[in-house]
Amino acid sequence: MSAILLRGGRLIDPASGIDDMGDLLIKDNRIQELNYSQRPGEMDSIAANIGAEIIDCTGCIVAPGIIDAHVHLREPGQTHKETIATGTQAAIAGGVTTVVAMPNTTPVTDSVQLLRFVQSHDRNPSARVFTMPAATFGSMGGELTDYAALAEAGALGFTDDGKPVLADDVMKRALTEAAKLNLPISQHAEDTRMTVGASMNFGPVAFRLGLRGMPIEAESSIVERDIRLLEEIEHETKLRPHLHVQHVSTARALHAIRNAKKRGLHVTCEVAPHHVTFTDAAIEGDPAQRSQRYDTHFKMNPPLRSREDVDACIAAVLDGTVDIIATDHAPHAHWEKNVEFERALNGITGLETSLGASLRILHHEHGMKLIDVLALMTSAPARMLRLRELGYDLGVLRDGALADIVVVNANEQWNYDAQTTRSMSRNTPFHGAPMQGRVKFTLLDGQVRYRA
Amino acid sequence: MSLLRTKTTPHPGSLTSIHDISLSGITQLFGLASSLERESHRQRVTHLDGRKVALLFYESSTRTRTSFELAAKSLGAITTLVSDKSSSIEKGESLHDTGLTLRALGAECIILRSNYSGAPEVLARSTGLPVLNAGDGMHEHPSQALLDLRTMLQRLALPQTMDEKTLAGKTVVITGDIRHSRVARSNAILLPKLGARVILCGPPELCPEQALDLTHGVEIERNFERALAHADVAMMLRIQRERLAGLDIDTAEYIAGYQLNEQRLRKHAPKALVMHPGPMVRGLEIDSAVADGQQSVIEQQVTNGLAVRMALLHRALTSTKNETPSEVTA
Repeated sequence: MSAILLRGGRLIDPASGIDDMGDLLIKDNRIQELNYSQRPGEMDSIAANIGAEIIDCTGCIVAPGIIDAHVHLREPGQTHKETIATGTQAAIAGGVTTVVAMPNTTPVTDSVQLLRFVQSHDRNPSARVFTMPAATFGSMGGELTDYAALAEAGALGFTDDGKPVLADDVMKRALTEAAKLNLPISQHAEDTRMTVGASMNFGPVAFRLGLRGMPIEAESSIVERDIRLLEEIEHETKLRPHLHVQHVSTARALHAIRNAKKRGLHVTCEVAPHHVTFTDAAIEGDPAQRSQRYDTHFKMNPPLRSREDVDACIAAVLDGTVDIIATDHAPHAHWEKNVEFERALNGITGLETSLGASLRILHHEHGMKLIDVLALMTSAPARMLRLRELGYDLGVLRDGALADIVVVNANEQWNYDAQTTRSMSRNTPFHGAPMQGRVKFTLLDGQVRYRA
Repeated sequence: MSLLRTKTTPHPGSLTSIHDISLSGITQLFGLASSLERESHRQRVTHLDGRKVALLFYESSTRTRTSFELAAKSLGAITTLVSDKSSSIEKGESLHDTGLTLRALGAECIILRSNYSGAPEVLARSTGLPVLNAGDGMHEHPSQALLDLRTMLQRLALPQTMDEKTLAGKTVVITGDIRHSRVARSNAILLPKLGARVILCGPPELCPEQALDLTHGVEIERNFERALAHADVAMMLRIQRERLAGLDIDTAEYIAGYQLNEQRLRKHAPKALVMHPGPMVRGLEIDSAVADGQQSVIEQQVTNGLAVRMALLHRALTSTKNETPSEVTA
């Protein structure tokens, strides 16, 4: 038996809305007791009786561990970029205790066997690893994978992330089959017919740089199409399909999502911290964004957008259209990024900067309440992924819940240094960027797995 | 490591974008070009005697490559040409590694042509050497803009001293495939700085509205003849078939709307200079009679390319790098 007392912190539980001073006692892998009190130490004697380690949380917030629903861990097959072990090391350094691994590995995670490989303890993970396996075999957009068997093995949903499920009939079948299992289809919304040869956002910056641009319609048209499919399925069957739109980056796609929610459709969406932090002007070389001209650390898909779209993403977070924050952590080796902009691979790392950037932009700059920012990273992804229904009591501070917890000095201002990363890769636009809130401890299953 | 962690200060002799050179820098450059032109062969070869210059060409080129090569040799430099067809580039060697290899072989300056926009930035950061952009994708072709400017100043009998009024009252009409043209971008950025009015002309698919955001002071006029009526300089551009990416241009319609032919020139711009960066497609964007006609300065552009590139190489190999490699400040 092991026990830990998190003493004298500000306990924030977004699920219940409780935000108060108190002590939190962990026994084995679960939360044993929460004691809200202005006077820390009321649980000291209980802690002493059971031999608990006491961690002083004065000046810190104590919150559920972060759940990141969109992470690329690169294993199997791309272990020069990241492994499940290193990726989850980066995760816990960022306060992330649960990650959902995307299936664009080599080979593509499209079978029960590969899903088990990723979720196996043999991969030596430091965080909880779930997967969303491929929606179609090889993520080729054709034949659906075996949803029932994958769900049985623990799939949280299905996605061809990195690519869209483009064909209408395939997407409709995917949504239908996933709905029968109460699981989402998580869509990378990009009409790739509109983005051939494109490497950044379509607009004046791309024109000046001589780069082909990805129009916002490439994203929004797929979102609109998918929403139409939801309506059709609801109309034609008794099913209630769940569409999750990944990394939304445009006002227009957000508009479609907002309207679909109003109509009662089951649509959720995520926004990535970089899409509320940087604009496409970074690619021209912008000292304010700490970027150089043609800086491949600012290249990802969907791309950084214009100021208007960035502002729309922030507004959508503030008004509740956005359900969760997810990083799209996408490590790449230095040599894969140190090439001509158009040849550089898409993607940036994000696990270590997710909380710091989100608090900086949303809380510090836009006045969003701390508890509301944390909700987007804890209770909301737990709900979106139906973790409780699937037997994982995560994303909450509640007696009996799994003790995945983060202790954060929420007021600490600091600057991220990519040199210190625990990821194998350093492809981040956040190097040197101001962050707010520093992770002091990360606990997983009641054990301290990270100490700053 | 260098890409991420150290912000390499660009070599002051580099020219990756026309933004990189100030008006006073251009005045100096043109002064240098003129004095180098006047020198005897014997004098000229002493300037860069034995210096090593690499020409790294990932795209085919006649004018630019030859004039850079002749410019380097005229100043006494040793040149080597590396092209994608006959080198390890074909085997997949990265630009970074190719740059380091050339540097290890003693190259002190690299002239780069690439089909990728921004490639000179990568090479400059990788090698720390002065890099001269000989055309990168659809981005820029700064030495072309400089030789175009020198040609204009000569033919319009303007002083070779650059300030914001040097081209005041002059209108340059750039017509054709603006969208895919690095020449158009470099010129449209440079010429307004000197006070010129720049009118971009072409159908929307080749001259999109976004071109207005290139810089302050450019306009779009879709009607070629109306644009021509204002022109002191008519700069014609080739339709870049290799970059159209599925875009379908009706040739007959294009010729009807935008070809510079004798009749149009005589009627709407009888005094304008006719320029073309080459290669020309005679009979498409420009009529042979115009290309070879009295108003054409196309050959002078090419000649000026030699002088301007001599000066650029001289600048590249005699500017000293200020050794202040600054870490990114956190």
